[in-house]
Amino acid sequence: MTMTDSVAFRLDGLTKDFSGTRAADAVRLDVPRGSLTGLVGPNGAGKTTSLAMAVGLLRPDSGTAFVHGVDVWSDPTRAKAMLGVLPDGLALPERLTGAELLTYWGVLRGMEPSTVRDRTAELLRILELDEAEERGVLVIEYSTGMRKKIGLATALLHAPKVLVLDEPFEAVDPVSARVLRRILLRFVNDGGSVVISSHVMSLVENVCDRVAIIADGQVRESGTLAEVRDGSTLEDVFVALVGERPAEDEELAWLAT
Amino acid sequence: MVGDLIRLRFTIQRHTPRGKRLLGMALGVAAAVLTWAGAIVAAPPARADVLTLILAVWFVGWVVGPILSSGASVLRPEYFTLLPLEHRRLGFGLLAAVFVGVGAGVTALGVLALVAYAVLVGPLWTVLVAVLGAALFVVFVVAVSRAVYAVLGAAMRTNVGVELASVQFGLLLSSMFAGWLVINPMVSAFPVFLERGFGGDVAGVVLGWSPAGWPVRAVDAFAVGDFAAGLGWLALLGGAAALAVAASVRLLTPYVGNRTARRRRVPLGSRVLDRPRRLPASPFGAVLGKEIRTWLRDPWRSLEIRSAIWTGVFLAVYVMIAGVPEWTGLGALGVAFLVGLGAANLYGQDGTALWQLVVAQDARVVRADVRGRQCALLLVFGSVAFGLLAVLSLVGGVFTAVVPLAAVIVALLGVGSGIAVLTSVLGATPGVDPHRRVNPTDAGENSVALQIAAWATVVLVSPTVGMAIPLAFAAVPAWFPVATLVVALLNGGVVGWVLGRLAVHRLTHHLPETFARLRYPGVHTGVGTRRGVLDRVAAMAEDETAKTRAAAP
Repeated sequence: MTMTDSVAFRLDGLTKDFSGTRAADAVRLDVPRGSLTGLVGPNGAGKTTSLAMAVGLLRPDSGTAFVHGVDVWSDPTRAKAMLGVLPDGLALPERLTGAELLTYWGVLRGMEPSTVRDRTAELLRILELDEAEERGVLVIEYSTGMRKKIGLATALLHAPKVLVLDEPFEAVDPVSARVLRRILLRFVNDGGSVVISSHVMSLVENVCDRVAIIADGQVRESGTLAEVRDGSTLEDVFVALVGERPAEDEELAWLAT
Repeated sequence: MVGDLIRLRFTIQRHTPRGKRLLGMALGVAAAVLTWAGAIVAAPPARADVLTLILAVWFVGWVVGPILSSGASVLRPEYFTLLPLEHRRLGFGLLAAVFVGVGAGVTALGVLALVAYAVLVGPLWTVLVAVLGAALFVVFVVAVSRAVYAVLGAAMRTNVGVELASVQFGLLLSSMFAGWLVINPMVSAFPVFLERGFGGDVAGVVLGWSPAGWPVRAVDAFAVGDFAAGLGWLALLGGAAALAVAASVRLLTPYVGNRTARRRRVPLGSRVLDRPRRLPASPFGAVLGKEIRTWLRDPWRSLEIRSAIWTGVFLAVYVMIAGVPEWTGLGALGVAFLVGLGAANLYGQDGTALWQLVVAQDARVVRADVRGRQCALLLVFGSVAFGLLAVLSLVGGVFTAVVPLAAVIVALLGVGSGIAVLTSVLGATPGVDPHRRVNPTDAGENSVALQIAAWATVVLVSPTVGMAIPLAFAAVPAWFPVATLVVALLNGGVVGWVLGRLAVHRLTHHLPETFARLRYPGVHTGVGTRRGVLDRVAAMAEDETAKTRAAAP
């Protein structure tokens, strides 16, 4: 089997220095077709930086990424057409309503207006943003969770082959999280591939079939969930890999006084 | 707490480039020396008028300085929202922190010229009155400055407020363009002014009654032994200072209400799911629709348009005062001139939303983004400029200059739209995140980009101006007006197209780098590899951004 067939998304030695600090150090990861891969790691481990380089938002010092065999950095147009991206905490065209934003986004990407309209209505309904749309609420007025959901809708709208989602479950309520999980599982069952980053181990264990642990800018461990856990829990493996500062008896003793 | 705030302020300012701080201090000290020189050199009958005028200039400087200089204030009240502090204490602390700085220091140094004045006009002990008056005046000026800045911040949440802010910007910009109509006679008359003062002019009387006149009058009154009047002036100044302090303490508190003005109906044009699409179903149409909506709905964009309108209106007023009603249409020209400046940081104004263009990267999409933005600028500023030209010409009642003015407006619109997108790409400067914006200057500005934009606009419309001037002032053949309009269309069209093309080219090849400037400010993005002219301009703009971020007022 060639790489194009088996590997949907490959991070190939992505390296980035920020003012002398190595944020990502030759990050390598293969995301097989039809898999849901969770990227976990402590704060500042390089998850967001690696994903930003992998989707073409941040130019790596070295290394590259491939979407179904197409190089993101040497053939960006073709590679990016297959990618759906949800970055964390970035602005959107803030003064549009949800439907206006999706319409703009779909037509900008060259989609048929009638398709855009149908998908927009469906996405807003499924993600429960339709009521806000009725009231004409602008994106700048959305809550954090609503922003996450409209961002997700923009990532899905053009029916990409690979979804790269940075902290997709953060600030999303439990009901919407179930909807989101259903969407992702269906997407994967239909042959799509997903990478999500998260801090929450239980969530990754629940949703993903593969996992990669990243620390100090390097992928320390990756494989199927069962391989990585190796009979233990993901949290224990994670702590064993990343290390934990031993707790002291008198630690923060003042806190509950 | 005041001590902590002051320390925090100094800690932040320590990261300012040293050169810039020294330059600011040098200018301040020079202004203080000029104040002393004015008080001492002026002839005895003019001395009070001269000093009053200089004090008034200090006052105006404090009020407009923070509004004009780009960048957000050092200590924003919002930083302290969660601290268990009484709002009044926080406001007082923030105000007090402003007094400990170079600005307040050199102002105090300058205003203490009142001491020299007291020595010259009265017995030695009036120096005490001068010191007290100077102290009260400095408190008044600084407090008013913070209050005005905070009011403008609060203003951005309501339409009336945006309008008020726009009037101020309009007045400032029009005065920069045409203020020489008023300033020129003053400068040439300065030696006379030092001799005679206002000589009982209305201006002198008004200034004398303004707060700038109060400390001078207090010293005068004590000098001639009129203690009641002297105390009265001091009390008035003290009262005004107390009011200003109270107002700014009240205003310098964190705002925790809604981010946007309350809406009574759904936004115009938001029924995209039920209504037929009017704009072309292409990437260009998508960008055009988004940009027009943003220009109409975003208070920071709206501020640019409305400031342009008010600049035009005030320019027309200056022209009327100068007694040339056929040129009232110059106001509309002012609007068109501001296209390239008001829209010089479109990508920065959008916050980090440029990521969308990066992940949708495609030659057609990038081209559509630049051209769509240009077209929206032409529609928005064009309709305003021509609407204003019609209204102002009707008000002026003389129509001889309409055709040359219309020609220059056409050229300015085209050239400005090109300059706007090119500087937006080259000088992309991050502001405060869109949903955290409070103050009018929070959207981010790049003074290097603005300078270049202004001068380039002037140079690039010169072919049209070269035709318009003879058309306006000389006897020309019958075909000349039409030829002028054709030249204007070509001038605006070609320059707008070429600069837009450059912007497309630049963005296509530096898309992730341009995004990085907005997403990771301060981290060197490698945009300025300094090979070509555009690289150098981009690198200059990036350096300027770094400096501005470090040196907020």
